[in-house]
Amino acid sequence: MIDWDRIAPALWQATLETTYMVGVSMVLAVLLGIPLGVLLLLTAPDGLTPRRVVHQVLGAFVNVGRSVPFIVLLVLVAPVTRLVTGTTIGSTATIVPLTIAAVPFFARLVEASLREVAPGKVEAARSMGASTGQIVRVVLLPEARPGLVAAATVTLVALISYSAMAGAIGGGGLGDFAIRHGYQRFDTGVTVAVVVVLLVMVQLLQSAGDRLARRLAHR
Amino acid sequence: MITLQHVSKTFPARRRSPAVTALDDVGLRVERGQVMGVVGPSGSGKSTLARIVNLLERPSAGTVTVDGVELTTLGAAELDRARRGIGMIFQQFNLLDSRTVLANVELPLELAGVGRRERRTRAAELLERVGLGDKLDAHPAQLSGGQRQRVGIARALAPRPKVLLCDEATSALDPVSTASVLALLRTLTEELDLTTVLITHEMDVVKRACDHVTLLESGRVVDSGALGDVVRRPGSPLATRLLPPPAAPAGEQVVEVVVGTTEHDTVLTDLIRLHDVRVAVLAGSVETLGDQRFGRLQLRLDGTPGQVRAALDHLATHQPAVDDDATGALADRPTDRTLEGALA
Repeated sequence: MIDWDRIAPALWQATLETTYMVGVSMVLAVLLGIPLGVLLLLTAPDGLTPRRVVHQVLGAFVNVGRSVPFIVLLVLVAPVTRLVTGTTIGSTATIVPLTIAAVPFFARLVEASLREVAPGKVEAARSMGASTGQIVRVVLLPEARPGLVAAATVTLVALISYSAMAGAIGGGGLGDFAIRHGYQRFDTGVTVAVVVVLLVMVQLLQSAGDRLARRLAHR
Repeated sequence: MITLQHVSKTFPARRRSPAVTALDDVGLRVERGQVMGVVGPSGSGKSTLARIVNLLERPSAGTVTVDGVELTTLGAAELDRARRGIGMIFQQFNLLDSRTVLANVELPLELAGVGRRERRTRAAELLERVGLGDKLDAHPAQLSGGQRQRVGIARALAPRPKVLLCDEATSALDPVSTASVLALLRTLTEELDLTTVLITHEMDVVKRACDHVTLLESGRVVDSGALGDVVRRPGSPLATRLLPPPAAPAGEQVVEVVVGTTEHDTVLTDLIRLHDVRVAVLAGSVETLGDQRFGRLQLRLDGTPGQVRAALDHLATHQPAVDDDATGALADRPTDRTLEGALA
């Protein structure tokens, strides 16, 4: 039987850690992923300011970032993590690989959302004498807002699942908790409890994201 | 106001598609205040032509001059500034869904750095003018097609342009909205002294809203001029489309004349006054083109062969506004050939 009095505070602590890791890396993913996604779009061969070399370099960086399995990335970037945070253990350290994984992931989704904006709207803005910067700020980003919110939701859910994986190498949060208290102590009840918490988190985020995207769509 | 000289546009070959010449040595002049309709079958290059005027498409060769400024020589920043003097409306409206109607009309002013309060006032005033004074806070998705195009018109006019480009502006609208949008365009272009280029594939739009017309075919200008001139030009491919010939009466020998309603349209009066022939109108069609009415009449001339021939010569030389070139074409038309044959 699960000793809830002992488990509950620890489970709550783990949930807070996960929220912290995922929250901070999501903020960083948005701050870095949006400019990267915009650059990918603008420098594309059919973009507003085609730059072949820049596009290919950025594209390669994004593809590499997305094709390395997260569990491998965790180990791979450990030196960087130590350089930035001074350690590779705990939730603050996990923010580094999480961000590195989330930025290219989100950037691709940003690029795809921006591509969804009807070319006619961009053309209309050009006919009004809008500069490229103005087109990005006034047309592309606002018009893609519903898609961007959906992209952020998908990224958040992916980050939660990644953060749990970080538990395997002592990354803190719910994954860590499930491995130490559930797996290593043969306490399946704890594992199930973690799964339920994760499920609720994902469910809440997804429906909040959907609702926000719908509200922004104005259709 | 708008001058295109020797403009060509070739889209380079891509994978799976060969190079396309959309415009081939096109010359076009639109004087201040004119409403120029550009017609042609799809793929004839008319949309490219509209995009060339504000350099959304850069011509492969030739020059584009608008309001005395040769746009083809401008740098990016100067071109952005020049474009503010050229409004444009689109078939798909291209309004921003994320903005209210008012904010959409404010957009070009915002881009030009106009202050918030001035923007508001100007946008609200224009929306009032196009009949949407009660929709300021609506979003485009809540409007009908006709209303959206009115927003598009208000947006294009917000920076007080001198030139207005309309690219198939009514092609996505139902007949009722089309009529009201065209009527609105006509009053606004007159009121604001706008020089307008109206791209369309519907001859009806030209008849209702334009005073000049240009026909493009495979990227070349085939025919061009004021409606009143074009419609009277024998052999003009536009003339019969603007003013279709009436159903020809069977077995009759007929001659066709085009008459207008101005005081200079004396061709019929002169024909009867100066020649000893009897004139019977066998068939006719009448159209309103712009603000004038024109008729295409099929006449039978009765008299001696000499009198009839003299009367025909008179018609051939006195059709008003027929240029020298075009007069020769009269003889090539089948109705005249049968008549000539009958007389010989």
